[in-house]
Amino acid sequence: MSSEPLLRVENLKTQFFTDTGTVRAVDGISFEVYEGEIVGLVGESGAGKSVASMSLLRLVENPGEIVGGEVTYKGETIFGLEEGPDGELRKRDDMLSNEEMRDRIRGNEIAVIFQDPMESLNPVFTVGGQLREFIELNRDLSREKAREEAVDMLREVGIPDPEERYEEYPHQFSGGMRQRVLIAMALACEPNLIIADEPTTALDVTVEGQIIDLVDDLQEKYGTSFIWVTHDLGVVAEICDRVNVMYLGEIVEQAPIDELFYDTKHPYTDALLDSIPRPDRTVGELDPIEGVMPEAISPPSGCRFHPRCPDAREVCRRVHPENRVVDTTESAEPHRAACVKHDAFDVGYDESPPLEKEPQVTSEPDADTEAGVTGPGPGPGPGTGTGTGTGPGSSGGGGEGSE
Amino acid sequence: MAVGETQVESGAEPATKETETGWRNTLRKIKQDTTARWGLYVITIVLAITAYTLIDGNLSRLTFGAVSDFTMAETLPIFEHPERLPPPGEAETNLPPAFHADGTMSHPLGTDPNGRDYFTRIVYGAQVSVSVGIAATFLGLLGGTIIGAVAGYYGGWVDDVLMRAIETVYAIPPLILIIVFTVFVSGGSPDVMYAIVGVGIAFIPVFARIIRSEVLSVREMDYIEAARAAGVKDRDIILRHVIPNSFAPVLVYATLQIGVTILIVAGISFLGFGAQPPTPDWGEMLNTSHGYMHSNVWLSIWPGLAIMITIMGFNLFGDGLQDALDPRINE
Amino acid sequence: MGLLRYTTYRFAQAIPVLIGISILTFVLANLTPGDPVRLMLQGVEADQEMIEQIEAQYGLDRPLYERYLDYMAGLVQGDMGHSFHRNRSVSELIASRIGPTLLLVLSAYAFALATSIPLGIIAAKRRNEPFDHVSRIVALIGVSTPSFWIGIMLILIFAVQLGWLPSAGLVYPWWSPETYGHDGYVEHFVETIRHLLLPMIALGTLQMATLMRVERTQMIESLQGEYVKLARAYGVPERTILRKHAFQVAQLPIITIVGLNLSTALGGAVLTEFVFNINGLGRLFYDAIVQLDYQVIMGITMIIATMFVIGVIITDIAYAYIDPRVTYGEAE
Repeated sequence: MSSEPLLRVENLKTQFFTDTGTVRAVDGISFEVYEGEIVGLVGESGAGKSVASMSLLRLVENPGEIVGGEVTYKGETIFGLEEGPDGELRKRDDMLSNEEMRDRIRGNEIAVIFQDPMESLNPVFTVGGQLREFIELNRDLSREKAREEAVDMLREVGIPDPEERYEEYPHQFSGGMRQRVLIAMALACEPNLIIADEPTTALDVTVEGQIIDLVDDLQEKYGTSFIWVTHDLGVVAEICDRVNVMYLGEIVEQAPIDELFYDTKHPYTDALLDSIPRPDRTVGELDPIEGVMPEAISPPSGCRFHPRCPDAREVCRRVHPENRVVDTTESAEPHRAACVKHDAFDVGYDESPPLEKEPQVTSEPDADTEAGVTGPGPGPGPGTGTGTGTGPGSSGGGGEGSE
Repeated sequence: MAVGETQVESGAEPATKETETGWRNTLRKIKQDTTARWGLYVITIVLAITAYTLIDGNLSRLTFGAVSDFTMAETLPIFEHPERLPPPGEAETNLPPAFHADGTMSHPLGTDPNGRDYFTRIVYGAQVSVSVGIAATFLGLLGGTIIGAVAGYYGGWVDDVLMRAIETVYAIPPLILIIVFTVFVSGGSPDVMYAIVGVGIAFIPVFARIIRSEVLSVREMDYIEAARAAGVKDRDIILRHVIPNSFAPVLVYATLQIGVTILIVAGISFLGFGAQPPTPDWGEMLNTSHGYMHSNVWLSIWPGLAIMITIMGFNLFGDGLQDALDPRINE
Repeated sequence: MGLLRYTTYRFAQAIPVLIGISILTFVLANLTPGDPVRLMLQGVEADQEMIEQIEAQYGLDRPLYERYLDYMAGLVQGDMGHSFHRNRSVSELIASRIGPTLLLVLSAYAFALATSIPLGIIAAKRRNEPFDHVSRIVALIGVSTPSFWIGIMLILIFAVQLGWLPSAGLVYPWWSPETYGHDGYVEHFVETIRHLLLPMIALGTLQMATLMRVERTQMIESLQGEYVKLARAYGVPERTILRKHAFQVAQLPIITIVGLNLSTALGGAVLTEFVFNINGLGRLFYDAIVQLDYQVIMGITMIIATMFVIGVIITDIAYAYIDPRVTYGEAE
């Protein structure tokens, strides 16, 4: 794999400023996409996957806003901040302007396949017309050329009678066919990177399989890189080269695909894997994740997964782990995870007493008292916890009258 | 912080409470919504004025049938009797409003061609417009609910016949239908009472359609099925289950419709087929003042403003209500 | 072909409604308490012989259903009866008065559409900005103000105070310029517009306000659509999105509203013609009501309802034509 990534995301933060408070939908994620690879972005709904992927195109809708981090694409800055003379953060000069994003990046360089094929196509224009419009716009082709290209592309994605179907409207297409059209749109613009935002979620299983096979073939043929956003690890296993697992706006594990499946380092990933049906297990062995994901508006202290984590110990409530390299893989690619149980985090996990299971998702008053009893005892002082940038747990003992 | 609140709302509240939370949410949204709040203020003021004039007992035709001897207007000197004509030769006619050079403070909005205090008449006009608006809307609501519920519940030929009838009524523009109804049924001497019934009939279609479509979805619910299986009579099912469960959207619509009703009734009275002189009604006052457009401009201005503000109140409130209930536009 | 079938189907569907309207107006007209002939003859000196003669002439001595069937038979042949007060056939009267009403209603619609759609789009685009607030207030006033009062105010300002525009009557463009003593077609045209302006605004304001609100809501909704997101993600300029992608979808409900609002517009025409002294159907309707000229009342009610029904059918067909999702034949 080449040394310079196609896309580099560093510490990206996207927040939504709502009436009830700030939602930290994406809270400091970093990952790379190299040429020709398919990178998975996995997590439950609400984990911030879609917001993250729209942030890459700078298409976050109000009241959302990218507030920090850096996104670099082919050496160009899609998003970047710097400190101005007044000490306030401001946008960097080399950041692409809105016009440049629109004319040079969106479509031409980075294309998107959306989740909902039923809603994504405009109901009052013909399928071919919409395809042609985007090709014309992003490849500077004449109308006729773009039309030819559109028909070819429809054929390429396996739509029968593309000449006739070109003139039809979206409602005359089945869900799977529409998803094929959306894929054709993405490929026809000849981008170097395609963001596929849960492209198969709305489809039934057999169609899902066909679409995945199609993408696999076309990816090989065109060499396009993909960011594959999904909640389904099964799909990830089939298609991705590397995977990022997201939980509540953060990437909790990052590894090549085989590593992730056979040497899982984060309990959340474990839980995800246990909750999907696999051929080597019976249904009885399925083990759904307990509880629901808390809202990103008030994330739990410490490790955000601790209220649902089977391995949670007292320290998990205090220490907020950023993901760090926990293992080196055969391919020399790092395996990163954000769980203090690994040796890379020296915060005293092994000595920390296990947490009593609480029925509620977020920590409540009785959690405080418990922390008060056991907190100061073993384990190093909370301040030494590494990577506690947001530091909710830093006050340690029971005294904190939280929120 | 808002932590607790978020938890309560997203948390494990039993599903049965969902509608209640929905209503509470709606109320909260209305309280937050500036437009709805302003609408509520205006409506409250207009209703307060109406209530006052009703207690006063001066409303001769609509409520008490006759002008009572004792009126508050006589005890409160700012109001004169809204209908009684001043003795000939004594009153000044067509006085301009007080801020005009020729106006006097004793008649803040001037006097009409008969020398009656215009401010009093405007204030008392609220009573006719608002009670007609509400009464007529209620009639339409009542008729529409019955017809819509029956059509939706029974379906089949009952539905067909009723819906064709509804379509027919709907096809005649309300203003035309109401005038024709009022004039023919009253035998050529129209009055507000006939107009109310006319408006009620003209508005049956819109309400019937909403109720019917609600009923069609409610009908499929399990509890209706259960009631039927338990041998409950159709009439009881409609009255006790179907209508109460499909009433919410209609009520919202009714609020908006009151404004429309006031608008239409004003038009009918303006043409002379609604409230009749000497009843103080804004539409009727505009009819009278039409003849004095050149000599006394003010007479045409005040009643129109009064109508506009009143209807605006209902529209603001209705808009707020709709916003609160329509999740698509909110965010 | 599908469209043709759909058109036929929609018109066929309207027939029972039209029959219903004829029954309704007929019944209403015969609900009149007391002696209809005496009511009709209000203010006319009449002896018993004359009353009987009229009764016989109008068939009032026969049973209701027979008279209705007669009336229907006439209607089918275009005979709507006879105006007692004007001594002319109702069809003739209506034909002579329908022009100004159509001119008024259509121009009011033109005014409403030409203003409401751009304003609604800009308001949606600039949602919650000053422009949006102002246009919403204007729209609110528009839907809350009686058209006849707007007419009166316009007359007071532009005719009485400023003297810029005439306050009454219309100039019919289909009559020759000489009829009005106009010097050529330019003056004729200018005069037509000058006379039309105030009543057009008076009648069109409500339509404008209603359409503007709908347009704004629809555009906001459309701009939030997934297809708009997709277009943005493919680098389509915001202006194209607004004018093409979002606009086309948002227009569909507008078409329906335009048809349904014909109901208020036709009702409003009665008031506008009254205020501006325009000799159209509305004014004829008013006069007929005052005189209890009931063949005329029935005729006009029939015609206006028919105009509304046809208007709705036309917008339905337009909708079916524009929206590719409508499958003809099984609409509704």
